[in-house]
Amino acid sequence: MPAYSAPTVSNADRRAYALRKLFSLTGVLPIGVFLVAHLGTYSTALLGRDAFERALGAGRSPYGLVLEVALLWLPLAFHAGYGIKVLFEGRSNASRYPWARNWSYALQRLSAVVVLVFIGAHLLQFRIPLLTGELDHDDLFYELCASLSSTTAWGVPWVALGYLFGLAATAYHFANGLSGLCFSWGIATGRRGLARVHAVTGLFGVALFAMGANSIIYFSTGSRFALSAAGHEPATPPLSCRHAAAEDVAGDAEPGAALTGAPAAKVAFGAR
Amino acid sequence: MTERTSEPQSPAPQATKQLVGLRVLRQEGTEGTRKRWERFEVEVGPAATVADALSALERAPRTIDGKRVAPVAWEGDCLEGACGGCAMRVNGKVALACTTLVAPLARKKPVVLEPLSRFATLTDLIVDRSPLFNALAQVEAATHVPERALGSVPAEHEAPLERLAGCMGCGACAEACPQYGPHSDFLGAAALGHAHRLNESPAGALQKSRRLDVLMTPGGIADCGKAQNCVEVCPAGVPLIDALTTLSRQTSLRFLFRWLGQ
Amino acid sequence: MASLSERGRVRRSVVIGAGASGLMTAVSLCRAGIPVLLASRSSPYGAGSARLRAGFNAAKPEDVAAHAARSAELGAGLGDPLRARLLSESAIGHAAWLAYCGVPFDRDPDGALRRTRLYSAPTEWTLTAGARTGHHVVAVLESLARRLEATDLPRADGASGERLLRRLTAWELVDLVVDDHRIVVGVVLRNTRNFEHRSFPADGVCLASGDHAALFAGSTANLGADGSGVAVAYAAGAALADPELLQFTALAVRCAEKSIALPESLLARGARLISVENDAAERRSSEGQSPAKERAELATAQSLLAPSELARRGAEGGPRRALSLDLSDVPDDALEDALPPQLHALMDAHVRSGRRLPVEVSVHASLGGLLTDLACDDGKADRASARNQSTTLGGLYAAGGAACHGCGAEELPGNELPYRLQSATLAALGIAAYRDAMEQSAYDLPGSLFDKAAERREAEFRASLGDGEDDDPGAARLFEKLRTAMRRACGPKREADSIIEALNDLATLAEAASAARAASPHEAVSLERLRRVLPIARATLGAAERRSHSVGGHFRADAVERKEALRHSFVVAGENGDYSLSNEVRYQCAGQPVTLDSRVESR
Ligand SMILES: Cc1cc2nc3c(=O)[nH]c(=O)nc-3n(C[C@H](O)[C@H](O)[C@H](O)COP(=O)(O)OP(=O)(O)OC[C@H]3O[C@@H](n4cnc5c(N)ncnc54)[C@H](O)[C@@H]3O)c2cc1C
Ligand code: HEM
Ligand code: HEM
Ligand code: SF4
Ligand code: F3S
Ligand code: FES
Repeated sequence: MPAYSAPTVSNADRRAYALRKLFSLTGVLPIGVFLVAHLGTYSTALLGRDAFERALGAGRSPYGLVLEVALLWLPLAFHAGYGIKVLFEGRSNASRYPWARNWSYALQRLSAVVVLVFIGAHLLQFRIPLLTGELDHDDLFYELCASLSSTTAWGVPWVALGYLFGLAATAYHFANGLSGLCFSWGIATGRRGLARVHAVTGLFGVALFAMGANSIIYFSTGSRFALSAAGHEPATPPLSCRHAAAEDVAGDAEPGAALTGAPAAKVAFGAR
Repeated sequence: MTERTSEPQSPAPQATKQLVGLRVLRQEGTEGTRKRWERFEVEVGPAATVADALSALERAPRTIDGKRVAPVAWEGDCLEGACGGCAMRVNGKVALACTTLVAPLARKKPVVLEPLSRFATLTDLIVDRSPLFNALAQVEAATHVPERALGSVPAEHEAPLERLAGCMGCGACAEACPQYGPHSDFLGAAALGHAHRLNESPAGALQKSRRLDVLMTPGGIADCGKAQNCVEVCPAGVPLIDALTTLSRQTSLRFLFRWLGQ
Repeated sequence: MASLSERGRVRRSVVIGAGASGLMTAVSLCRAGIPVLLASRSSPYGAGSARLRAGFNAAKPEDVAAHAARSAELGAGLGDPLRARLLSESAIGHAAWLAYCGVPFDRDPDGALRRTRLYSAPTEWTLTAGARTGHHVVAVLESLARRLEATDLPRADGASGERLLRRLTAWELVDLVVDDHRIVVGVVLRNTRNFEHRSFPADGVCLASGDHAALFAGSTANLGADGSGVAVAYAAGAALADPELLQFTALAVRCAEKSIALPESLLARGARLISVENDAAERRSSEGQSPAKERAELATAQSLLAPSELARRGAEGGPRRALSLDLSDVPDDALEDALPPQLHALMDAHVRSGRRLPVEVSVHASLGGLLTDLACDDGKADRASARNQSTTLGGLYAAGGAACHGCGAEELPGNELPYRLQSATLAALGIAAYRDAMEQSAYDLPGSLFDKAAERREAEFRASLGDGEDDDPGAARLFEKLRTAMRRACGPKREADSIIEALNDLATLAEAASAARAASPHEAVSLERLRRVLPIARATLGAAERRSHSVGGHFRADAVERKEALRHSFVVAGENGDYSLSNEVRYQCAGQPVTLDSRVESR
């Protein structure tokens, strides 16, 4: 039978596929894991300043800048860079074919851009000053409270809202990314399997957002939704926050202070 | 034998004919020379499809301002949703002209007809779908020609495989896919569906590993963005997502254990 | 645009039409090592074969004889018993081969190929692949062809880089290149996209361009089944056989441009054919008429079903009783597959009157076509002869719908796919034998022969272009007139004077067509096609007029007692679109003279 000329696979093709898989993996490990851990550390603020200091400290010492760059910054830069390439390969048509999955395709890409901007701003606000020494680790708590509860125009806490928005985009991007990951690795096959995965990752995304939002809102307004909802502690800021204010060490920032201009006990919005 | 009216007499009271407005994008040649919109009005019955409206237009090619024009060029062989020739954009969304009832669409505004946007337009509503079929050659959606049927034929051909083989090359999945088009070298869901079908058939399975390798090259399975529009618009009901997810699994496993292993 | 003939060093055979038969012919030729050029107007999915729903008859060995007998019996005397036997004997081999290649035939739980009993068959011998058997056969044949397109020719025979199979889609056969011995040595093709004309030499040409059922208004055939391929051979002198014999279907739902054939399997799933007098009866029956009357209606309707009886009953005088198919008891999954989407929408529009669809008797396919020979010695087919599937033009072969099926007045439902594969394998064998017996290859002939043929067609095409006057009827309207005239005169019910009236209509139509000018290249293509198929329509009417007795589903209201022997209708093209019927045809095949007699017993 005459020779059959089958299509061949070059090494360049194999590398391209490997990169695509790496892009997918980096979204979960290390970036996704860092995100969960990171939000976890910042929600310890709700348990009071010393719990927060301890969590922050625990996360600090063994890292070292080199490890941080290798394990977090490089993967993030690679994922973001490759993600931008992937962005340009698609022409979203969600308005014309408004099915749910098509919207999640479009929002995955939109959220990616929002996350890119958010991380950029976020690093400029905290990470870079910490590196350059402009900001000291000990004042981190106050800096967070100050900036998140700061209200520039019309009494609206823009920074907090910005953080919530950035957090929402990140949580959605990560959750939807996990669902996409189950598709592109064939962890779930068929439409029923994918629907289940999408539900689970959706819940995970909401939970992640709630955790992050809780701490942002706490820094911003001083009220702790989750815990007050749990009802086992009055909704006043933890002693350490007030105590810090009394000692008047570096600035009088305490959760919600700038927002209300009065002792943190009174909450600007949201009835007690 | 009584002369048939052009519409089937529905046993219900004699249905009335109505005027339907059409707004068709016209052009000649791939460079899009003389690209222009033309407005028509055609008389059709309640059961008429967009294809019937286009055929009626061919018999009276006159715009609403009475100018006689060349009949609108469109393609379609079967007129019952089985050949895919008449896939076009109806009011912006991909549809088969021959299975889309026209009256419900034309109540308020004229129906807008445009050629598929993901392929080169040849004339009016006719596009060059050859990239779709070339992609089949690329994924080696080809079956080795066996001399004769070798022994008893395995029995695992259940309904899914029958559905899986329903593709007629209409291009709707390519039209609705955000990843397909001039801006990317993605082969499209149809070609991947074919590759998967062949991997599952006895004669086709002989080249399964080679086909998976080909699917792992640029433009293959990794370029699917998981938007899942393809399975929604496919007129033949091809279970494309089953194919795409199974291929994703098979290629990922192959990547982990074969490629990295070498 | 300079039209040029494309030589190439590889001595290819040419196959026209990529339906089931064209693809099978090409695959069979390539398996015998013969390089092929396969040119087709539509993609395989646009071919009529892709819409076959009745299934694939492949009887178990013990039922093969019964299957052959039943097929021949339906032909009402005009069928060829040898072809019926060849078909039933080869069917199971083809089916197993197709299943191995990937056709998802339905299976019994133990994995054996599941056979069902079609409504009009005495026993189970029909294989099905879901509700789209034809589609799956065509899809698998196409994937085989794609493999051959990527197969390099062995170095010694062909140049480097030449492939075993070369495929051209959206190219249409417009002329045959004939040498001075009246042997077909090449084809002229027109690109239906950029309207370029090009000629190709060919060592053996096989026409598999489908039948001419689309010439009848309201037929269920694809629009492409207009006989435009057969017309090219007919114009070059090839004889037609029984063009007037048509396959009807009783379950056709008339939509504007054509009808949709509902599959017979619906009747096995609870669908009931109801004959309703008029609207009044309809309203009364929907309010629940007495069961006795309902059963009586059903009995008449169901006895009508077998196409031959139905055509006769449907064609009888008396108040034309509209038929309606009641689908209320059909399970939804069966309905889902059986009806194309727009019929679902149509049914929603009819939901008020219970799930009923108006059905009528419609032309389904044409059983006649190019006269093709079958070499046999003492009752068995001689598979090595160049006469197999040869038309009366040397070097030109035909398979599938383009050829006369040889099944006579009616084809057993479900025989169509095995017939296509059978006629395709025979045509491939015929061409292989023809090529062996050939002294001179078409590729050795002077290039000017091919250039001139292509240039003539190009010039003709250009001449029909022009800015048509405002009142010019246009090709579409002329085609509609042709199809309406053919349906009225040559449907299930025929009589001499209505046929003659239609012949006159077609004569005036031919004049209008030659005077018409096309407003665009696309319209010029359909205008040229109309001019080309008009002689086929007139030949069909001529043969229908001469066959003055009823046979199978063809009912002659003015039938006369048949005195002399039963004959096939051999039709040869006369001057300017006229036709001449003859009882004997002589032709040259691979050097030997052959004489074919139209008497049925001559086989
Ligand atoms: C709705 C329907 C149901 C049917 N059901 C059955 C059934 O169940 N079983 C059955 O056996 N038969 C059935 N028939 C009849 C059968 O489909 C046709 O007779 C059959 O299509 C003929 O097959 P073919 O391969 O010879 O040609 P086709 O399958 O029609 O293919 C012809 C090909 O040639 C191309 N072509 C045509 N003219 C030219 C030209 N001039 N140049 C180049 N290419 C050309 C066409 O584009 C097409 O691709 C049915 C027909 C219809 C319409
Ligand atoms: C906290 C930061 C981020 C996390 C946790 C994250 C996580 C993920 C995950 C898990 C995926 C799924 C991969 C797949 O579908 O196979 C993904 C996909 C994607 N990411 Fe990110 N990512 C982050 C930041 C970014 C950034 C900054 C970009 C920049 C553009 C980006 C662009 C993309 C894109 C475009 C996809 C879609 C890939 C596809 O659907 O095929 N991501 N991300
Ligand atoms: C709940 C809201 C958040 C708060 C209060 C917060 C706070 C901080 C702080 C204070 C730092 C610097 C501390 C340090 O250097 O260790 C930091 C670093 C960082 N944050 Fe956030 N962050 C939040 C949400 C996010 C989100 C949603 C992302 C999304 C990707 C993110 C990504 C990062 C990264 C990448 C760093 C730099 C790495 C590092 O320093 O460890 N943060 N964050
Ligand atoms: S998969 Fe479906 S939508 Fe895509 S080309 Fe095939 S039939 Fe059309
Ligand atoms: S629409 Fe396109 S992105 Fe993938 S899931 Fe379907 S091929
Ligand atoms: S014409 Fe065949 S699908 Fe519409």
